[in-house]
Amino acid sequence: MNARLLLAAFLLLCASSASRADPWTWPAQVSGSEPLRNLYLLDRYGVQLLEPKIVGGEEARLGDDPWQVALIGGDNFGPDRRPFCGGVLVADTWVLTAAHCVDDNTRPAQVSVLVGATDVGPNGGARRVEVRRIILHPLYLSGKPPRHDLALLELASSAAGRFTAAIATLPMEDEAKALAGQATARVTGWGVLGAGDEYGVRQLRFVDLKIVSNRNCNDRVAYKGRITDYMVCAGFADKLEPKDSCQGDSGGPLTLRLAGKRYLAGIVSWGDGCAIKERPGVYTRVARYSAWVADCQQGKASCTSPTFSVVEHAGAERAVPFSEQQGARR
Amino acid sequence: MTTFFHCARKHAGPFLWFVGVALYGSAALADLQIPAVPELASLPAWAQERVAPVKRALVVGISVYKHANPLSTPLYDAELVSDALKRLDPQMAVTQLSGNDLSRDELLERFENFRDSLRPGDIALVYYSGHGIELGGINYLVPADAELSRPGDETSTYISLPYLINEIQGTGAGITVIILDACRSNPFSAPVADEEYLDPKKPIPAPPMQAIASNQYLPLKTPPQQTPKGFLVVFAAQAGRPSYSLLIGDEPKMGSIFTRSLLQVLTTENKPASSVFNRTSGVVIRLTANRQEPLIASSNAGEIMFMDNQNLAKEELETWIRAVASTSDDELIYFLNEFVDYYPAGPFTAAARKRLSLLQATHEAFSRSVVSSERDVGLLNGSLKTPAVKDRFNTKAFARYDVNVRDLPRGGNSRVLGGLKRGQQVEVLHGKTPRGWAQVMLEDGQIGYVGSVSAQNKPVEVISLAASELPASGDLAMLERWRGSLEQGRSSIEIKVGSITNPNPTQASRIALLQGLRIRALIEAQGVARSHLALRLASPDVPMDTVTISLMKEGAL
Repeated sequence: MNARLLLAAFLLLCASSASRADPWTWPAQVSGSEPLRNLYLLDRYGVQLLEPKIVGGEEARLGDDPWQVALIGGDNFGPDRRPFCGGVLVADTWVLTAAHCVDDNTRPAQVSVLVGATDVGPNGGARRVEVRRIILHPLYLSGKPPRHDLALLELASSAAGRFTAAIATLPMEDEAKALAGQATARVTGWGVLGAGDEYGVRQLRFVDLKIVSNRNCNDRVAYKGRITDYMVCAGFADKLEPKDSCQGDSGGPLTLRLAGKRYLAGIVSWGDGCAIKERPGVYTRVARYSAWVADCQQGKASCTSPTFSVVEHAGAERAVPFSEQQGARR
Repeated sequence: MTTFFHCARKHAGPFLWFVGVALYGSAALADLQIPAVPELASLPAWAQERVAPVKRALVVGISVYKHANPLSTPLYDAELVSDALKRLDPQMAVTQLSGNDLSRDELLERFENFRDSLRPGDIALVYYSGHGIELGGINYLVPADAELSRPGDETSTYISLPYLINEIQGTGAGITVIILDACRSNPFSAPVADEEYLDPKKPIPAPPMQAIASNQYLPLKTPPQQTPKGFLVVFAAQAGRPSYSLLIGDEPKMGSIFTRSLLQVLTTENKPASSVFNRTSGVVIRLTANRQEPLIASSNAGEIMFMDNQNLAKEELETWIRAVASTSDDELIYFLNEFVDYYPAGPFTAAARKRLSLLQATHEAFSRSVVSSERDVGLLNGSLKTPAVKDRFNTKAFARYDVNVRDLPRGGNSRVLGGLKRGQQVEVLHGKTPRGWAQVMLEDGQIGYVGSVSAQNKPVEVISLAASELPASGDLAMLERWRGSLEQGRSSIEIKVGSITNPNPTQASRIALLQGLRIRALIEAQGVARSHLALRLASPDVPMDTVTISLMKEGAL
């Protein structure tokens, strides 16, 4: 039984990655609800640019988001260190990011992580840490929208430093309350790189957003049922110009404050642009994956197996078969 | 069809060109005149085809609400508006939704049907009379079954105006007109005197609520591809001001003050929509003794006329003819894009779209979103040619013959990455590479080099004019002299039109385009071949309201 499940999962994953366009070249046709990295642009010199997501917002201060890291090309040793995705330190040697940032058989050597800086330019004080291992969530499926869009990067050395710190993931028991509609959350990212900036890198930015309930996010004027229980939506707060408050870079953190402490609630995953309130950004709901994150750090087999523990609202754990996972709220 | 011919007659004839010339060229001297506009009949057949844009209207009136106060006029308003639209233009597809059962689901269902019926280039009109509510700077229409929304649930309780507009614009509709007779004032802020003077349609009580805000409907900064610019939203009242149903003594079946005023103007004057709305404003202000003033929130679009499907302005026809006449295919790709942008729903827009898709298919033109560092490669000639009509920065070129793209800027000892077919469009990264090599980016993102390119990017002599002027007779001698050096093929003439001051950005762009075309026609009339001429609009090198005509030579590398 288990072997058959594994085979099914393997076939599905293969099929989905084969049909995908190479993310390092032009996207074939940009359309809505693609994973954010698929909206990549190349600049005139062939350098990949981030989709302009955090286009407004404010500059983050050094130390305010010490868990934020930048993913850059592993062969990028030049002055131009524009990140292609964001990531979050969940432990000294573990970075959580979006699976679609590192899928398509990305090898660890192809990715480096910059930590400890809001300015990832050559003079910003960022430290470069290499990646030892990339673990995609075993149930990750690319597509519109991506499912279980989560990956862990095991770092080759500790990211600990003066301006770095790991962030705790939101406990499952607090999730319902913390992610209620209208709760305030913060998303960070480097966003688009302004023309003429030195080496094209600018400061980390943040935007305060409001959580949108899954009911509203699944409404017929919104994402029409495409939001699963493993995703959470956050959109611009009222009174703000939509253009000032979109999602951050893929893989980056959606955090919120609970009892005076900041927790990781989501990972930037996908969206339909930011033009209207009905299309908020969509994030991987991290609390639902805390067991998986822990299992991977402890080297358990469940880290790479196609079933994983899902914590129910009541707090009871149960293993969810693969087929049920994929059928969830399609 | 009769309308077409009638219209053609109405707009043809030399008199109109005269007016146009007099308008723009008042400073021109008598001895230098813009050559007459060629006849439409001289254009290729595809460019003579006039297709009236289809108008589709969704007319909604909600009087009876489950949880909100009833309104007296909306059912009548919807009836009156539908009748008027059908009378004005029998071709218009009007969907009328009124009744007491317009739940949110029903309303959205019908709206989605309406949206799905829209085709690129259509004129979409939405009229709504009923309760409106403004929350957090966003306007919502209130369906008949809506309860007061809990905070955060607005988008799934009401229907937001930005959603409607976004959906309509996503269809490629040429112009979107939204008329809202739904500005309902806050009872707590409305002047008490209004209550006795008029019978305002009462809004839903609480939560904190303002009249409809007007500042939300600017076009998106980064519109998805093919999003039309045409866009017009009319509110029955200014933000924070009430919109009244009726004057004391009026019958509800007369329609609301705003709607009846609108229809009065609409059915008596065959004027462009924006002018109709302005006139309506005047009537409403007068009727309500300055207590209600309709608001035109955004008008940066092509003109539409409710009565006359051809809605052809003389400048539009002249722009069309001058743009299309004896233009090569690669230039056309630029011109037609420009034309569709500025005249999204004119009688020739359909022909422009059709031609454009044909050209883009055969020329493998691609318009990727390349974030450039805003560098201008200048005018290229040789194996690559930049037509330079539209782009602020000149970075796109067409291959003039089949040519290889190599990985290094040299013929020997380099690898062929791919080839450009004659007429194929390519993104140029650097036009100034040594020994005639231009750096280009292929469609798949590969970067390579094309040889035998000459870059004409150094202005040698410049004639500078106010944008409303034409070259004076004194400039003629200079053009005459330039003509000699052009023939050797190492120079070209570039006409750069700076940004034009005009409160309406679409109008500003149209004026710039037409002025550029006229100056080009004038220079051509002096014996300069079109192949030596390039036209650049909204050029950052040129001050506002200025045109320069420059002789460009190959710059030093």
